[in-house]
Amino acid sequence: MESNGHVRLHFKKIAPGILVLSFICLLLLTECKRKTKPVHMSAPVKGIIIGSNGQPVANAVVMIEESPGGHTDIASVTNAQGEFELNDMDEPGKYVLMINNNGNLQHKEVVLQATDSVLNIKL
Amino acid sequence: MKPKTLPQKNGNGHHAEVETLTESPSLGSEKLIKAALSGTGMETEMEEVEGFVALKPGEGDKETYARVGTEGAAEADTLEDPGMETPITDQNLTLKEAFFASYPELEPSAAKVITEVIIGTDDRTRILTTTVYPWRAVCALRITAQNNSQWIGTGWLVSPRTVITAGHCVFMHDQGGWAKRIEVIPGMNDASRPYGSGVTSVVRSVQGWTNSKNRDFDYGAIILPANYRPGDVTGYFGYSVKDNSFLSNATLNLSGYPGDKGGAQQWFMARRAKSLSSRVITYDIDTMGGQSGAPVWVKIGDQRYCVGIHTNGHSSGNSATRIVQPVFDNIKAWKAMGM
Repeated sequence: MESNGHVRLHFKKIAPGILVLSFICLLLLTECKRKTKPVHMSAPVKGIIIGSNGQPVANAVVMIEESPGGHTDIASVTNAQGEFELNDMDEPGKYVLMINNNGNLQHKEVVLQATDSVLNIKL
Repeated sequence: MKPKTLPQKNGNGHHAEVETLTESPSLGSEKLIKAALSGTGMETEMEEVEGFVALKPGEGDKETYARVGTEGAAEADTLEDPGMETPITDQNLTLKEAFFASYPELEPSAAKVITEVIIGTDDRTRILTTTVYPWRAVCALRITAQNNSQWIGTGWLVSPRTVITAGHCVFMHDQGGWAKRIEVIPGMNDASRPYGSGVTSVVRSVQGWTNSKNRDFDYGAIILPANYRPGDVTGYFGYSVKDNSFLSNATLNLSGYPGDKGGAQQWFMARRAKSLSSRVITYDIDTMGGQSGAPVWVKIGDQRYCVGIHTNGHSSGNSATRIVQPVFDNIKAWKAMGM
């Protein structure tokens, strides 16, 4: 019992140190992983273009004008339901979209969060 | 899932609204790719590293395709393949005649290597004479992905039936892979389709793009049906591998169909390269969505040689996939398929 008590006493002395070291290691690993593993979002981002009359806008051309990490220069065209998809919006941040609705150009600034995957855009 | 509304300004300074709906991804792209790779022995982390090449050395340019077709042998015995300006109509003015007729003050003095035209401003110039070579060899693309989403892009004729474009115009990773249908419209000018159009699903790219989505390998080809040979009428671009010293001193020409102009008008701009890497040419030529796949070319004498395939936009510089030896070899093989 004496020895057991001694062991327990020793354990109590070193336990806080181990806990602190473990916590620091965990923080370092998390930070390292965060830096080497960028946050990627569910792709592609989908959306709907809604006109000022509240109706979906078909045949509008939707494209990325500015993005945090660059983008491919392909443009999406809305279908009859006003739906479009955009690739390359795969990281959170500020994007500027350009919508060409029959010659009427509009710019939309969007700040994407990591869990965003659907954009409804009102013209 | 709760929508949030962000106040925005439109092009006229009026406020508009952007709604962002939050959705929990049931099976995100990361999971999908991991699932697709399970059992292949490949690292599952690879899709999360930008530009990571998950290929054995030399495999990036290995051809992949959606349809089995007759395939010509790729025998690259030269680093230049001249294009052809087909002299078939009285509309067949040379570029110099056509463009410098409108901009006589820009006509350069005789030089061995000249650019298409030197423009003193940063603005794109609309090409109205799309029935004149080389503009008529630039094609508007209407792309239908496997999931039926619709896209616009640009391509350029390299033979009577072969159109070169970006890899992401023929293989779209997030839309089901190979394009389901592509309509090619040479020389489109608003509603005018002076050479008609052709529809196909026969497309080509390389493993570096289709398997690894590596920006360095973002290029591909569209093979038009045997009964539609626009290049016989329009002529087609040459292509060439050029070294850094050449590209650093040459003005690059780029013409395509940008979405901000509706995707049915051809717009042109020229500038020198901003920087070069082994596989990418970066420049400050203005581009917008819809110009993916556009030709980036130099003019040497009367010949136009494409040296890059426009693919990307970025605030620090837009860029093209550079035509290097393996790219040259694949273009040559794809060209043979469309002869």
